[in-house]
Amino acid sequence: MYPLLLKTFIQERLSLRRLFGQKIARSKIQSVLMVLLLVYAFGVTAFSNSILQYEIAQGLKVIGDLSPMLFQVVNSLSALGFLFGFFQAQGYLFQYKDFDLLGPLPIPQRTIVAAKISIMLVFVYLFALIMVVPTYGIWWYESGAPLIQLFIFLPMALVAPIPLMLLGAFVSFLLRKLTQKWLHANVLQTVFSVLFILSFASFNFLSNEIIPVSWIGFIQGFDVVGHWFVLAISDLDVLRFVMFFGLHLIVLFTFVLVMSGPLLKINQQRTNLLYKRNEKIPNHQQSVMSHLLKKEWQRFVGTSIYFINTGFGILMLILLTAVSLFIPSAISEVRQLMVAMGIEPIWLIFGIVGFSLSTVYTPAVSLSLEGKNINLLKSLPIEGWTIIKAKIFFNLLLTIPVVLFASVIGSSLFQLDFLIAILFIIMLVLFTILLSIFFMYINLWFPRFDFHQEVEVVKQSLAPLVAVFGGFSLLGALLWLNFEPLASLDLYARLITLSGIEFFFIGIALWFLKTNAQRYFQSFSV
Amino acid sequence: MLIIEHASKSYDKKKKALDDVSLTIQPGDLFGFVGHNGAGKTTLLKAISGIHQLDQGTIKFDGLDINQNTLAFKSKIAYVPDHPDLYEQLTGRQYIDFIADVFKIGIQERNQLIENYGKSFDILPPLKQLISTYSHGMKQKTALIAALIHKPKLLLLDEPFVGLDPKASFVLKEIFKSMTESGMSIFFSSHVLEVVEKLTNKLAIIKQGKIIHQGLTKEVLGKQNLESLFMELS
Repeated sequence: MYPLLLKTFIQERLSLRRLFGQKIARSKIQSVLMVLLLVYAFGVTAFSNSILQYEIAQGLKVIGDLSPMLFQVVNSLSALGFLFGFFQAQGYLFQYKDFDLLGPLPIPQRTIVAAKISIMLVFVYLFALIMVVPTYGIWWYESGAPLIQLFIFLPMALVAPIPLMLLGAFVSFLLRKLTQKWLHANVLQTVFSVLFILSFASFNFLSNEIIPVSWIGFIQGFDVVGHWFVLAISDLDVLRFVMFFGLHLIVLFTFVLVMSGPLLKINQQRTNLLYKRNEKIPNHQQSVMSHLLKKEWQRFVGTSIYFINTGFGILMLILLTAVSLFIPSAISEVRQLMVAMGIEPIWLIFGIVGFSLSTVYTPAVSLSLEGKNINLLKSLPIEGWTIIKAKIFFNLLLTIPVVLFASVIGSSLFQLDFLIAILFIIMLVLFTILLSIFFMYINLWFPRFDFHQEVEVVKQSLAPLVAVFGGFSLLGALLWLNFEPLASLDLYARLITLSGIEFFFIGIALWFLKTNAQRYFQSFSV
Repeated sequence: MLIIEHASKSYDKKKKALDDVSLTIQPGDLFGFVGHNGAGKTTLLKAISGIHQLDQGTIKFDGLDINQNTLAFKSKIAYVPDHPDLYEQLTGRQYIDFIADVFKIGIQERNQLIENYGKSFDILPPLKQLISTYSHGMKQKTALIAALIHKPKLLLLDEPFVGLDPKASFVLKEIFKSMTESGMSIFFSSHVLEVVEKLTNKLAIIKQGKIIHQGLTKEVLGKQNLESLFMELS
């Protein structure tokens, strides 16, 4: 029964159509292009990671110890497991969406739980291919590429994410349990999730200050099981291999045996949140746009995975700007360094802001996140253009204030001339608008309404991937224009020209969007 | 025989969705279940099919308790929800094969049944398409074929006629009749009172979680029709 369930889950969760959205079958050329794009994006990420790991390996070879790379492998697998457990457990274990379908079938609950955990692991493995495998690959290559070490690595890598994935699942369940009866429970869950991840990231970042060894070195100090992993591979230690593999399997089997019953009960007793909202009855008619924007905001703060993935960039930008206020001397040093290199400091600000903005891709997924509600929207007398405008406005409401904050502070810290600062801010705001419109096009080209969980749209589909890489490309294109064809102009002329180019493309893109909005909108179906 | 005794369930520990419900469904019964929206029909059907757990009471089928002999119990029943949420990335045929494999139905037998039911419900060619392209009625037909594929001794259906075209409704009624004639039991909820009145031999009316009338359809109705009785009770 387990293989049958796993096969069905894989067919359901990992089909190309689910990944690419509803347009996959419409055109063969488009499908091939999308596959190529995906392979390219994954390839670039894996290749860049490999280059980075190769450089690290060269450094470690000098001190004659490559084992930190193996620690990194096992810790990254665990971290990926934790993140996937944290974000996916709710839909896969505690309130699985197909419970009404599987519940009446004579399938042992343990089999269902085992298959659900397996499909969660499949997603971890897919990400591990680009995040972790390059590290091991470089280590393996630098160690002389013995086959036996590969055979020892593979089974251990497959089980390594399990304990922290289950821990992540429990943490996420606990958060939900603690907040489910509160008003705005979804918002609280999002806030807790962000705080949790920020604390983890801060500890990671500050560990070098707190502990006089590196983060990996810190883990090495107490991670006995991690040592088993490293020694099993580097020393071909069969006993430690058996201990590592066996311990992880015991954790898995114990979880399945012990938790299947409680998980069944949790699924059987699930209910919708029961709190009542005591909102004031509005005393005046509101515009359609204000309703649409309010809806966008509620979805943004009420969906943890959406908020964390598309809001993290602005949060980091705010933090970075705020922190920079307290380190003016360091900023001054960076400024002097850049001037010495012959690069105007504004391009550093532009790069940082542009990079952060490329991750705030709300318009690239918010239409898809309407899900089956898209039919409801289509049935109402609202123009497609109004809905599209609302999604772009919402993104701009999130980004423009932060862009202004960052660019004003940045201009002041980097001591830009007043006129340059004004021109730079105008160019940055136009870039923000252009990026937002570009993101909107991505969602119109790659819509995906038939999802089960928001994570499938926000992380596991083509739109966010194309949006982030497209954003980087747009940023790269403007920087290239500045440093290559426009290099002979002075800074004023370059900023005015770049703003002009952005303005031109904004005009064209908006005109085309407005003209075709209704056609796009009518073509959507669930 | 399905025996439900003193079944109670509350979602919020305050209001009872099911309040001391007791029902018996004999082999060959075609049992209709009516009530207002939110009266507790779906909750009871989901409790019988193992989707919900009762706070109190027992549910037994042929002597098997849903909580103690869960798998044996479930292997004798089939449940079709009002809005079948099937695996959308599978084709109709793949989904039915999945259910047939769960119940270990042989290839020849399942092929024959799929052919027969597929033709009767006019859905044979679309079974090759992805479920995500189906209308509500097509999903309903697919869920029905999947439910019938293992010849359950008890068939539970929540609003089975909603979304079905007239021919499919007729076919389903004929299937109901032939199933009950061969000793199987059917328990279904419906808001289409005429169908319940004409089709069933027994019925129960539920209001705010309590069964307020149950028995042989003829006896419950007396000289009235179901609609007037229902309006009188509400």
